[in-house]
Amino acid sequence: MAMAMATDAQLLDRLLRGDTRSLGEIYERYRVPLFRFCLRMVKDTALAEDAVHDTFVKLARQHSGILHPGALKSWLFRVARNEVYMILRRAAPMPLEDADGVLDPSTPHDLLEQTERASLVHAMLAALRPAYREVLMLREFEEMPYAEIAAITGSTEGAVKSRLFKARLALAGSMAGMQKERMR
Amino acid sequence: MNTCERCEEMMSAYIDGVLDDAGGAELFAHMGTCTQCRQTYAGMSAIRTYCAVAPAPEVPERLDRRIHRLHAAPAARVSRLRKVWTQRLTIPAPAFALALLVVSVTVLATVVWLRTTPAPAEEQQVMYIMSMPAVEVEGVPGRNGSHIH
Ligand SMILES: [Zn+2]
Repeated sequence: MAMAMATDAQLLDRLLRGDTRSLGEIYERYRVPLFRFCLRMVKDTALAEDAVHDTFVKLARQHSGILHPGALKSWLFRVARNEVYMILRRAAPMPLEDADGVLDPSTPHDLLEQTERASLVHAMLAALRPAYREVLMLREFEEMPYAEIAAITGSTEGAVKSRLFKARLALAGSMAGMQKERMR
Repeated sequence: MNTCERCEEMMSAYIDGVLDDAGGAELFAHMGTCTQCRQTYAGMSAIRTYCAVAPAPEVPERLDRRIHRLHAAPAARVSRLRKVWTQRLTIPAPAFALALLVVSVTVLATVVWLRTTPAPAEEQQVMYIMSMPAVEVEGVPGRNGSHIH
């Protein structure tokens, strides 16, 4: 009979009791989603690696601060997001969250049309400002409810809903523009 | 906010499954008559489809190794500390013993000196005592070395 997979709460409980192997199991479970999130946010493999690594350093040191055992995934994403924003702020010392506009001006203008070189999703996400990119990623890839996204991004459900709408509208507009270009 | 703008907001909520029935009815009724909104909705829905089929990025092996070192670290660190501790105690033992002896003697000497040396508050009294003629007690010379005859 196959052994049942440990729940997040069980893994966290083992970690709290000093079983460091559970850190490896937690990593196995979240390495892909966390790396994808960090990579799409910072747009650099080495920096994304650092963000995920530092997230697990914090998990190893501060796991006793995770009060609700079921909140491990949210905790990991919240810490990873903090690491991501530290990297983004170092790269561009400007307000990231309150900047006007949905599309990221630092993205090359023709990136949305470079579907041969980068996947369309990669290009779409890269075109968004970080505050919009993160909510869209957490919603589409992690299928998180608004409340969880709000908790991770330090925002409100209303703001999450609004950002998702604006991100989708901007991307839908970009895609419609691409189609028109191709039909010419 | 015009009908199209309101419907655009409702599209996003509908995609996330948080639009109520009345909103849904209004949205689809409007899209039945508005080509622009139908296109926008198709674009918004496509984002979800693209994300669903997008291949996950390859996690670099280097990151796997870094994390492995992290959770393998505590045991390794303990054995490393144990090694260092043992080495320091066995190899330079004579030097360590000598240092311990020097420290012990210094501490002992300080304690003895402190006990025989009066505190500053007592200094006046000591000066007074020293200025007094020394009294020879059973052949022991006075403090100032003089003898009273
Ligand atoms: Zn319309």
